[in-house]
Amino acid sequence: MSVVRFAGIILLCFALLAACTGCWDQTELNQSSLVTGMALEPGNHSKYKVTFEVVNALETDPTKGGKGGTPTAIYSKEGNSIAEATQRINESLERMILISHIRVIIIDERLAREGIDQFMDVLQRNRYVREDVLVLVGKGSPASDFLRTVYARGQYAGYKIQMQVETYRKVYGGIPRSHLYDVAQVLLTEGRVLMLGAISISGNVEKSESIDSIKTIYPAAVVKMAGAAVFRGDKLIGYLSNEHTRMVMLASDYVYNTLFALPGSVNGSKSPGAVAVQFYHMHSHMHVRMDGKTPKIRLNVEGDGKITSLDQNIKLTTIKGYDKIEEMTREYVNKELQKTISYVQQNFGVDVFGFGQHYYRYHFRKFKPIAREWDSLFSKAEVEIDSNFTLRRPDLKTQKLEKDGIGP
Amino acid sequence: MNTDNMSFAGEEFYRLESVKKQFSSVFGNTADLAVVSVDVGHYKGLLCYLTTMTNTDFIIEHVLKELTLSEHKEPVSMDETFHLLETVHYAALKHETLVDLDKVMDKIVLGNAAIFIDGFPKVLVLEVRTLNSRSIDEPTTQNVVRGPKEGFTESADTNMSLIRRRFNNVKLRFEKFELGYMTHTAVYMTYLDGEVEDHILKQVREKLNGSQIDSLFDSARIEEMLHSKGKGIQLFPTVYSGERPDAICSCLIDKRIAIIVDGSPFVLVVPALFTDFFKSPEDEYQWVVIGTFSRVLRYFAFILSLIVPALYIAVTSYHQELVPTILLTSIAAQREGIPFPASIEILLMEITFEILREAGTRMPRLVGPTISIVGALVLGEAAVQAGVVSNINVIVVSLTAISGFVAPIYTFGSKVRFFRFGMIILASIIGLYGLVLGCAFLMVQITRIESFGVPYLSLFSRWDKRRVT
Repeated sequence: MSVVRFAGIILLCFALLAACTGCWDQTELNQSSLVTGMALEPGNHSKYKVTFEVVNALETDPTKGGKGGTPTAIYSKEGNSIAEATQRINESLERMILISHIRVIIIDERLAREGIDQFMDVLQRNRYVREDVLVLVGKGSPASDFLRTVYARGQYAGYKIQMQVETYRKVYGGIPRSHLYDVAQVLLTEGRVLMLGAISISGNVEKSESIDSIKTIYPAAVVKMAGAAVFRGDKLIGYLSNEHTRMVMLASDYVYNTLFALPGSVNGSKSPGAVAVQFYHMHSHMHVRMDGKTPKIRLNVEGDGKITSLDQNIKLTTIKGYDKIEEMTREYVNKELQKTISYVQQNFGVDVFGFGQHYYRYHFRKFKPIAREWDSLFSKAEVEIDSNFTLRRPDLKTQKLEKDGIGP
Repeated sequence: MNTDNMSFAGEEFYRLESVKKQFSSVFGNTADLAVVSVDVGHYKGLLCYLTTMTNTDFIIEHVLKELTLSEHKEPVSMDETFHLLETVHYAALKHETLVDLDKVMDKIVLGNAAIFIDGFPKVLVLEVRTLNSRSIDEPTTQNVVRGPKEGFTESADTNMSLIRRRFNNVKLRFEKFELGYMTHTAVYMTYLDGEVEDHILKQVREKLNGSQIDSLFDSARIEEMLHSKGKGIQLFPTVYSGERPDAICSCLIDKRIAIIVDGSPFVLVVPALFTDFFKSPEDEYQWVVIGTFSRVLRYFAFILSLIVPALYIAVTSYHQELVPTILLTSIAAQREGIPFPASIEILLMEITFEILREAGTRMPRLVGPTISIVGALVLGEAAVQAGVVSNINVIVVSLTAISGFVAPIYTFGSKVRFFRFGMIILASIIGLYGLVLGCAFLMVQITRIESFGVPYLSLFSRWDKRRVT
C-alpha cells in the first residue's frame, strides 16, 4: 500500500469522524439523567400516572458534596399508556432519561387489583429495563409515596428499597422473590400463582420529602417490608404477613437463612422465646400425588443451624439437650407451616407454594386434565410435613451461665 | 594506474613524492590526514593515517618505535626489511599487505595506517584504529533490578566483545557487512552456526547485501528494511531490539540472528514474535512464578492501554446500561458541568499526555523539573478543579499512560499508543461495536504477520505441521 493511499484512508477516517460523531444513539452522561425508581398508579385524568425517581448525580457523590440538595427528584406524568407517560416526562424534566438503571418498579395496589398484565408488556419489551429489576406492590399508600422517602444514607430511595428487599430476603426470607423475570416465569407456568413482594410505609410521608427529615435520628417515614401480595391470575387478591410469607418461601425452597424463636410452654402466647435457633443451608422437597380428587402432599424440610439464645436452661453438655431443641424446632415449624398452608387454602384458595407446578413437572399427563381446577383442588389438599433439623453448634457457650447450687 | 611510478617487471614501485601528491589529490586538504616521512630501517618511508581514527600515543608506542628496526645494525635488503616488519615487529597488530593504492586509501579511511617504502611495490597496512567510546554503562531503556547491569555501547567492537565473553563457544559467528554507500558502516550478523535455520540466514544476508541506503547511523534504519514486505503495512514490529547483552544472548540461544550496527547501542534480533515484546530478561532470573506473573501482567497492561479509554467512551456515551448503577452515578456526578462530550474530553487529555511525553523525552535535562511541575498541573487535580475534565477521565488517561510503558520494548509501546487513538475514534463514532471492530481488525492484522517465515503469533496459534521449525 503506497503512502499516498494510506494517508488518503486516514483522511477519509477523519472525514467519517466529522460526519458521524454524535451518532443517533449517543447519549452524553452530562446531558441525561438516571432513573432509579418507577412507580405506577392510576391517574386522575388519564389511565396511568407514572412517577420517576431521577437522580441528581452531583448530590450522590460524596467527594464533591453537592450543594446540600436531595439526591433525587420526583417527576410524575399521566398518560394513557406507560410508554406515553415515559416519553412525555420531558414536559417537566430538562434531560433525557436513562431507564436502564431502574432498581425498583412499585405498583400501586389499586392498579394491581385491576390486573397487572395490561402494563407488564411495556416493561418486558423494553430492552433497557433489566430483567432483574424488582417489581413490588405498595401496600396502603400511593405508589409514588415510596419514592418520596428520603433516607439518611444520602442515596436514592430506589436503591435503598432494593437493598432492603434483597437483604431481608437473604437473612430472614420474609418477602418473595419478585424480579421482573420471576413475574414472567410465574405468569407462564402452570400450577402456581404470582406472589410479589409488598412494601408499606410507616410514618409521615409529607414530612419525609424534605432533606431535613433525615437530620433527625428518627426518620419521619420508613419503608417497611410487608410480606407478599398474592395474585389470582394477574389481579391482586390479598396480602400475606411476613411470617406467612416466610413459611411459603420455606415450603418452596427459597429460604436460605432464617431464625426461629421457639416459644416456651409457660405463659401461652406472651411466653418469652425459650430458645432461638438460626438456620442456614435450608432445603425443602415436595412430593405431590393425587388420591382420587384430593392432592396428597408431603413436604420435607431440612436445615443446619446453631443455637443463638437460650432462655431456659437446657443442658447442652449431652446429646439429649440438642435432641430436645431439635424436636422443639420440628414441632414448631410443622405447626407454623401447617397453619400457613391452611390459612392460604381458606383465605385465598390459590396455590402460592407451587405444589401444582411440581405436579405439572413430574406428572405432566396426570396434571393435564386437572390443570384448570387445580386451585380448587389445592384448597382441599392434605399436607403432611416432615421436617428434620440438625443443630451443628451451640456457638460460644455450651451452657447457659448458671450456678450449679451446692448442697442437697 | 599511475604513470609517475616506475614500472618494473609488472609491478609498480612507489615513489614517495608521487604518493604524497596522490594523497593530497584524493583527500584534499582534510585536516586529519597525517602523511609523515619516516625512516624504515635504512630506507626512506612514508607513514599515512587519519589522526581522527587513532591516537598519537598509540602511533608512537606501537608504530614509530618499531619502524626504525634499531636492533638491526647492518643494513638489510628492502624485501627483508618489509618481511621483518610484517612478521616480527608488527606481528601483534592486525596487518595486511596491499599493492593497489585505491584499496590502501579505503583502508586508511577505516582507521588503518599505511607504510610505504621508497621504491618498493608493496604497502604494509596496519590496523591502528583506537577510538574513544563511551564506557559500558547501565542500559537506559531496559532496566532490571536483578541481573547483569551492562549495556551495549555505540562501538560495535565493544558490543561484539560483550556477546563473545558470554558465549565461550566456537560456533558463535560475526559476519561482517558494509552498509551505506556514503558511510560504509560496519554491520555484523551474529548467530550460532548450525543452530540457525539456513533459509533465515540466507534471507537476512540478501536483505543486508541488497540494501540501497546511503547512510546508516542507527540500527532503527535497517529495522524498517528487515520487516518482511509485501503484506500491507506492518502494524506491529517484527524486529526485536535490545540494549542488554544478556537479552540478546538468550535470543541467540533461541536460534535467532542478532544484527549489530556500528554506532548504535541497540542490537536487532530477527525473527521476532509477538511474545518477545513482552519478555524481560529479568523474568528468567526470578522465581518462575513471579516471572510468569509479571509477564501476564504485561499482557494485561497491553490490553488495558489499548482499550481502556475507548471502553470508557463507548460505555459512558452509548451503553450506560453496562455500568453498575453506583459507579454510573459516581461518573455522572463527575461529568456534571464538564463542557465537552466524553470523547473530546478523552482525546484532549490523551493528546496532552502525548505532548507531555514528547516534551519529557526531548527537553534538555536542566529544564526537567519544570516539565514535571507543569505536567502535574495540566494532567491532574488542577485540570479537574478548573472544570475542564473529570476525575474519572484523569484516572482513565493515567492508567492508560502507565500501562503503555509497561511493555519492555519501547517501540512496541509506541505503536500501541498509536492504535489507541484509532480505538478512541472508533468508539466515539459507533460505541462498543466500533471497539470490537477495531480489535478484530488488529487481530486479523496480527495473525497475518510473518517474521522471516515464522508466524508472528507462533506461541498462541495452532500447531501447524507445515511450519515445523
